[in-house]
Amino acid sequence: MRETDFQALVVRYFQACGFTQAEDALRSEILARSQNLAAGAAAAGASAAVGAPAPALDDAVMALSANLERWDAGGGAAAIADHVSLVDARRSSPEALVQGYGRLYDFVDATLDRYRPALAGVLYPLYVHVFLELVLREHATEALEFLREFETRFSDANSTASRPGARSKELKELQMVSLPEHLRENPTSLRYLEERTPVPVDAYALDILLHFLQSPDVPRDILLLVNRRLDVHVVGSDDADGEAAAKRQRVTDDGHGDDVADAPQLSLGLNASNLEDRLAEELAGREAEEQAGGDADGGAARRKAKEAGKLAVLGVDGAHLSRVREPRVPLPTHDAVWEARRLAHMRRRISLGGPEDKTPDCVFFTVTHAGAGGGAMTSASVHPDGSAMAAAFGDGLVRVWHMNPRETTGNLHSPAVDAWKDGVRDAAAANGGGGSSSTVGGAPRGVVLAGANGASYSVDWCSEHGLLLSAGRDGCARVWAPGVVGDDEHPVGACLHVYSWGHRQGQPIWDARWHPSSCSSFCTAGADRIAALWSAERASGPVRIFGGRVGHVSDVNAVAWHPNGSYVATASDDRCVKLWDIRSGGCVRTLGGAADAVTCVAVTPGGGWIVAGDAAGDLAVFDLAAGKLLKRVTGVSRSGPIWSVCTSAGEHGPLLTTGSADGHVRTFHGPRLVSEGSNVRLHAPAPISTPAFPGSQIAFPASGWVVGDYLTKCTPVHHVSYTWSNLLVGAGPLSLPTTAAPASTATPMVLTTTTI
Amino acid sequence: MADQAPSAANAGAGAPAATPTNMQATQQDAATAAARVTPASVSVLAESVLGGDVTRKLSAEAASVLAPDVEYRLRALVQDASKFMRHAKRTKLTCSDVNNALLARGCEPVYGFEDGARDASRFVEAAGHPHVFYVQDAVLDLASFVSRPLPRAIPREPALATHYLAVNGVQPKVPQNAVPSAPTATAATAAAASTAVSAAAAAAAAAAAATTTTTAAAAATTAAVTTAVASQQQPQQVLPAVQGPSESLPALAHHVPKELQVYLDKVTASLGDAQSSAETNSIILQGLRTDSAIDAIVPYLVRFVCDRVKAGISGTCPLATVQAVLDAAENLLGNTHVDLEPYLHQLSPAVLSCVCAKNLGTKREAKDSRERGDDVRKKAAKLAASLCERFGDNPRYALRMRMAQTYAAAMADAKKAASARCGALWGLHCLGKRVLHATFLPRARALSESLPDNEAFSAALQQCAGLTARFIESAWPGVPPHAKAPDSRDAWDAALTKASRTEPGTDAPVDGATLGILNTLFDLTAFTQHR
Repeated sequence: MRETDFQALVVRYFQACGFTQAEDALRSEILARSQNLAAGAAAAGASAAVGAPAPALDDAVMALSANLERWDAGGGAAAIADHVSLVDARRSSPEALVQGYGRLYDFVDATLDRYRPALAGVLYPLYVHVFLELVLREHATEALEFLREFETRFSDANSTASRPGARSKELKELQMVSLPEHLRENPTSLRYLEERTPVPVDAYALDILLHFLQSPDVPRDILLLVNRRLDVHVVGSDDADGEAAAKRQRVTDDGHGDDVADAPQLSLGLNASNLEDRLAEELAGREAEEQAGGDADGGAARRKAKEAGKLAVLGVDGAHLSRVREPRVPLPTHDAVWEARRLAHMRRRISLGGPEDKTPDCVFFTVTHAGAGGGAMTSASVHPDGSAMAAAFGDGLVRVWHMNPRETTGNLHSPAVDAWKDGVRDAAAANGGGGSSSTVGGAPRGVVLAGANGASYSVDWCSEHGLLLSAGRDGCARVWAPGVVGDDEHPVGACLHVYSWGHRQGQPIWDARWHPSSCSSFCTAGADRIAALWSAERASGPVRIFGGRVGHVSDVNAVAWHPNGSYVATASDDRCVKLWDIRSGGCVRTLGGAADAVTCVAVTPGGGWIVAGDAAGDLAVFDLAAGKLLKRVTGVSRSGPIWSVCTSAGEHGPLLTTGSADGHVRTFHGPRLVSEGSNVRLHAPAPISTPAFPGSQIAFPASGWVVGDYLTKCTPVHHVSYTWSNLLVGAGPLSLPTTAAPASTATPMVLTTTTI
Repeated sequence: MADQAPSAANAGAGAPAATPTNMQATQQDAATAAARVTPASVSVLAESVLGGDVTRKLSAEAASVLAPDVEYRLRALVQDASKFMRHAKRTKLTCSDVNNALLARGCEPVYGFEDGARDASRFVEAAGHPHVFYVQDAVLDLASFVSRPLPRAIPREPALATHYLAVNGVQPKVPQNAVPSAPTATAATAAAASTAVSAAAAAAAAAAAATTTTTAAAAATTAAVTTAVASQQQPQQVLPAVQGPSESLPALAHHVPKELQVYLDKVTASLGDAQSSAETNSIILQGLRTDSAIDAIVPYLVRFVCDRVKAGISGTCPLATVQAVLDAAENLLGNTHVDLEPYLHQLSPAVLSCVCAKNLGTKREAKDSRERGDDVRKKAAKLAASLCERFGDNPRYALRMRMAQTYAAAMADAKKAASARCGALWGLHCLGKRVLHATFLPRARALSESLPDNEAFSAALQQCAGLTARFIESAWPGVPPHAKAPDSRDAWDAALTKASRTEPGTDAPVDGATLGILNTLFDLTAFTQHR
């Protein structure tokens, strides 16, 4: 088709559809272009021919009108329809329309993460319009079928039969539409037909959407519907705008918006007879005994003190939550030895924060020669008693180091450090006096756990029995008994079981975490957008899959258990944190508001809050019961993502600690509880302005929240955690800046020697 | 016409694009977005794949259809690869990430780029077998290969090291923790410090030294406090930071590992022995300059240096040893892993007294080999200057100002020995032109007349005069070399003082007397040269 032909065709199409403005615009554009051309020609041949412009202009106009006449003569609209199947006269079958919509749905589901939220905004309004279109074409049965088929994907996440969500109500009303005449009567359909739903998208998102809609296996009607009924417009190609729009979109269109009142109630308190309460009772009892002496009224005082103690030992995040009498999910009986050990650590716990702003003491585990490139260290975990450290590597190996009680004596003393040293000594004694034999020349020697196929991305210590959980590229979770060198009872590096067939074949597991208080179950999160709950005793597959319709729409990056073991929190690339009930398997909270992919997540020890760090280096704290954002700290990591986040236990509220790619271990205050009469509300301290310093570029957006900021020499911090006695431990690989690495020149040399 | 083609193609492919406003929006964005795959780049790639085969050519239409698809797939691949990067907790995308992403999508990975290989291995088709490839290797000369030194980096097993990142709210000063960067004072403080120095030096030359110095010192202290405030995130933490972290920690016995103790013994024995070979010493000095693990023995080394220098001044230690320990101090200063800042209060007085000492080395050496003593003095002066270079900008110490004052006092003191005054001159010389301008220039004439017979002193004087003259020459480029010199001695001195007070680089008027003084300075240079 020649260009002039094509222009004529478009003009005719505009006339047919009644787009007079568009037609005028196109006509003027054609005119302007031909004038430009003429001017160009005139400039080129100014010396040769004078008076060329006018004929050129005339030519263009003449050609256009001639072509229009020709089209009309050749059969008008029918001729156009032969070439471009856009005109209403030519319609695809209802099946094709439904099929096309299904394809679009799948396409949006599989598209690039960054543009998915924006494109997902097209789906729901288009779903309604496809239904209305089917009704309009008098395919009532197909329309109803279509409505039912996709209904579950769009209805509100938290809606119930008694309290339907806004979207469920809308769909219910639409179900009543079955004849074209109803369209004008039904308020919902009328609203959709009269208003073009605005869908703001990124420029590139629009590009790929159009590219898909123009592909031959999508019926043209879908494209037509998008053009006519939706107002798909580009919001600035600027990232910030696109993201903000996408966020708006998600909040309003997912149905997870602000209707938290509809969300189910959660029992977020700790289990009855949890260790925190036992510790509180023990402490309070001792105190009361000291005070009361041999008083007859000692019993009542003790009881009162116990009640007070509960509040005193637990932080502000969980103090207001009522205890769960019976755990919602039955727990296995705890190992008495490990429980006693844990309690012993908790008795020596350092109270952090508080009026004196006590900062945590930090011990850092640096892995030297941690490799570079694909085989480098990927993650680490320190046993909560601080006696052992495990690191996962890109080549699939997991290395375990047990601390040597003799060599952990440094020159420095503080209560936390002393408690740690004692703990290491006790652990070594409990392991059968090992430790001394596992060290060579002062440094602890690693135990290598081999077996994973492909990189290991996650490693986690169980709080009981010293079991280790690792997961990685091969989509399998492995449970290890790391053992102790020189100890025959605990063989070194025994892989107890490999748990496979939970995640989609070929997709890696990004994170795996043990149940907080037992080694009976664990949870994994993968690139296949699901998290899976496993029972350690069940080898055949996971017992719950957290995903699907209400699940994440992108990779699940991290998983964290609620301290009472009834809920699991997942963090994803789709910038959401979700909370799942492990009994029902349903999603009970969706917490949006992160600026970038969420990389790490932690639930506070009191069970009330969730802390999430993201790839942009920001930190967010959510309240679980209310399902809302409590506070946001931006710029926690100056460069790169936050890799790890953890929270301290104790009565002065949890401190939040992050380990980030810029080599900093930063500790922040949590929001504080301030009681005003009977009201207890959360108080966020006003940021203290930093003293102005002429000529300096230093700005601390997070000041006022900061408790401590410690810098490693050249070690990105992969892992931070608090031990049971509130010692902060960090871990990371030493990454010296590379200078024209001699290693890379050495490698080819080694290779070539084999060929000589 | 050509630039309008895309719009036609766009419309032609799907005319649809809705309303014209939409079409325009897409076009605009396509034009503005830089990182787009264009049909042109697709056809370029196609050409490189198809080789020189002219008959097989990608049509423009195919390229324009392929381009958006290629772009989409590239974006998807990069998105997936960056996920693998992030979960390996790296911030740098590697080839293995891309390969992992390809594998996860069920594609064949790209071989040959893994882990550190800069270029892909070259695959060569085997002769006679059309689908068999092998890796091409470079041919090596066996003789040269064998004689090559062993590779330095041998892969080692990962190992664990623990240290205290923070105890009681401060980061302990251990080698594993980041060295607090002292010389990174902001430009503002550096400028303030240098003006304070020149002001203080000028004031020292004038009579009213006391008041100005205290003001400058006070200003310096305030600056130090503000720096500390700025470097701390919380005002509450200012107090311990200013006091220094060591004070908030309990006093403890310093624990030095056995191997470091042995090392320290060897170092002190070798440096302390005048008979030890130069080769051994050079190895030791090299170690002091580069070794990162000697942090624990630095206090002992510094004390050793100070002891030997003191002994050298009091005449109980040979010159060679003094020279060796000064070398050691210089190398320690050059070690990037060692922070000498805590030991500055020990090191700088020792070095300064070495520069301005009456005698150096044993009694006999002081008598016989004066020239060698001067060499050692010069070395100490250089060391003092490099201490200044490194820590002088920190207003907390006001190092440059204090050194300049000490030198100026020693230089002008007629009661001091010639060797000491000579040393002070060398010290000033090493501190640089600006200090010379402020301290030496007002006294130049008096000095040139004070010790006419001492050769070393004359030589030092000549050097200083030369440097000052060059400085003045560069500061006031238009000075005519033969202006008239002032007649009376008073006029001379007044002009000298005036010249020294005029800040170089400003457009202060240079009157005849000043010109004369400059001129004389040139003469002075000539005068000392003639002698």
